[in-house]
Amino acid sequence: MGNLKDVDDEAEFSNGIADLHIDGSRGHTEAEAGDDDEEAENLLVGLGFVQPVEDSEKWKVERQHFPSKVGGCPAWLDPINIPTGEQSTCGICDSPLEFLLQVYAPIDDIDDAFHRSLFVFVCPNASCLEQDRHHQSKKPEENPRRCVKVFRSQLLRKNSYYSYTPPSGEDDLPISEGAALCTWCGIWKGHKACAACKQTKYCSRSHQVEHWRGSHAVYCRQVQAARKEGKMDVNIPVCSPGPVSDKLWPEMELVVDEEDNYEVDELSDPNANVPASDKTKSKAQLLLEDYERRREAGEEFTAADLEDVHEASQDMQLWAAFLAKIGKAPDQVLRYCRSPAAKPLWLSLNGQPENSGIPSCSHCGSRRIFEFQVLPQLLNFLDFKDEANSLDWGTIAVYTCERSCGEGVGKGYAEEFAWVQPPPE
Amino acid sequence: MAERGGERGGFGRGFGRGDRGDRGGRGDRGRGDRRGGRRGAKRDEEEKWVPVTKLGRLVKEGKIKSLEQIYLFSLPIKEHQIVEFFLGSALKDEVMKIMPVQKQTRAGQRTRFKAFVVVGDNNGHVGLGVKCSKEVATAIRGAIILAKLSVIPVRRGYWGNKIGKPHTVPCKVTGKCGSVTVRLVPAPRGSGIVAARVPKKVLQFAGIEDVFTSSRGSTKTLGNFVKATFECLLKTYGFLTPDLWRETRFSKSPFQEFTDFLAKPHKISVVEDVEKTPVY
Repeated sequence: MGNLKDVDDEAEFSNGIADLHIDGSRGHTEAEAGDDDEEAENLLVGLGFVQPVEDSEKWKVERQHFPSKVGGCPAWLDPINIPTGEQSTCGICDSPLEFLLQVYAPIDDIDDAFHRSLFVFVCPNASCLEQDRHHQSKKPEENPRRCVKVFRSQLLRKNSYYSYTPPSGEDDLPISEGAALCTWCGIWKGHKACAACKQTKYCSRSHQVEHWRGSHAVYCRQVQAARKEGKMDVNIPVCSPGPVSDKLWPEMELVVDEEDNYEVDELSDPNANVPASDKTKSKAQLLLEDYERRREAGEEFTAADLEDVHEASQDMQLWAAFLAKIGKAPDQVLRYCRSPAAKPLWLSLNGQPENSGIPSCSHCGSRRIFEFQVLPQLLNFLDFKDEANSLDWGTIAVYTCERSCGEGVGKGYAEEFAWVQPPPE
Repeated sequence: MAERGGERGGFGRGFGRGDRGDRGGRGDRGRGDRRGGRRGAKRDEEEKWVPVTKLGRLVKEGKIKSLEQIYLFSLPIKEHQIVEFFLGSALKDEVMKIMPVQKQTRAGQRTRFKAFVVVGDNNGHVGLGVKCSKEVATAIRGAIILAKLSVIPVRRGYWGNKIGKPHTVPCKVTGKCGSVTVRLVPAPRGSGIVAARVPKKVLQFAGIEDVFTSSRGSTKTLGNFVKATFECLLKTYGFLTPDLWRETRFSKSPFQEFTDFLAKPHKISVVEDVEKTPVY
């Protein structure tokens, strides 16, 4: 930092701010704290937006169409080798995880990953998410118990589940059936069954109990009664195919768009007709003109007047940079940028992982790189009944195996790593 | 390379970026579901607000009654739209200064612009924001946001008779920032704001009409002390005066029913719920 000279800047503002020619020898030299426009990112960022799905278009989010979506049930890519057991439950409260979103993100260079999807699951308990914070920084050998989990699945173009050619429309179905899923949640494998009717499948005891309390008790008794009388396939109301749960998050499509498409020219509006009226001028432009008028009338403050007013703290500046970045497209819910050089858009200084805090791929040992992050805007679309007590996050950053290895996927789904930055204080 | 990179036989690409993530090779974007960018879209100042914090979501849903309720429970306000939501068009902003600032880089000198913005509704709320940026407009927009995030409630009172609207600080308050101290003293109607230029602007925007100030400190230029003034204003609500001697009834925090949130440390101010104070 250089000496703060008692400089009167008046002389330099000869023609107004817009066409300033600054003489480099005068003026203050300052160290910057947080420089959001310095990082000239050469990386393309894809933004994810939610879009409601009409009932007539529900087919679009079925697995044979390789969708990206939020809420509802997952459209499992590999429909057979679905994660089970400990993988499917919250490491802290043991209840089955809920489906948050999935992203279809194939990698061109890797044949194995012609089809490739990532699935994100979270526990709906806010208290579990609090505890998860401590677990996510633990080393893999310390057995961290997570409540936010990400699974990756990938397939060759030629596979036993889907046609070699893309589906053409709503009538296309996958070429084989998937494994039976839990009737209640429609997410996890239904390997347990109702002991009474033996027809309805569940992933866990808790879901069986919920369904029983719901509509199943009645249905089950009807089935048992019919069985006793020897009538089976007649007159029994069909148990609705899963999922029956009303706790699933609203199902929406997740569409992608380039961040570059949302760059906006600050001072001028390219669509405005000349001359620009007050209505088309941006707020900044109007304030600037007002400032110019006052300056010309001699009402300006000097640099000395504002000497003790400093820029906000580093943390505040990082937050302001975050707001500015997402402000270009405020309804974005996901930021996608898969590259070793990519960094997540953090909300605050604290709650970021250490450099060593991202574990390597547990299947093949290569490092994990950032792929995408889920933004807090998504929480607006999840329709919480009780907002004050519900889930809250700053951002969920997902890191995946750099090689997108086939080692873990051989068994169906490879678990990847999610880092949750808490909401800023 | 082109064959492999672009050829998906009609399958969509979803979020996949092709073989490279960098801007150098855009190539074929595939036919995944795209939204269709709003290239060159007009900047809509009233663009729909999508909250990013829990408090923001609660405010947007209408679960929070007033800005004062948020101040009362010292909940941090991280979104400027929260302030805009409650204060609306009463909130005015003004650029106080645009200052060129030089930084030495390997490539030579680089100039950026530092914008100072003050916001206030002339009725008990004021904030100050500073932002440095390559472009003037970016600096101004950033400073406006920071100013709104820094808005504090300012309590006003009377010098003598309680006639008309409150016009001065309710009592003598002192604020310290670093080694400088500023003291605000109630003044009779008509005195105006007796203060240095920038603190005067801040006090005006806060809605204070009359006040005496005195300052001490060891900087070379006496009379600045904007931050210390801010500290004074913050204290106006922290001061227990006779009219507040009525017993404080702690009302429910917006999150009170929910013990998880309460478990986090929050400062509870001594002042009674602002809405219940006698209307001057």
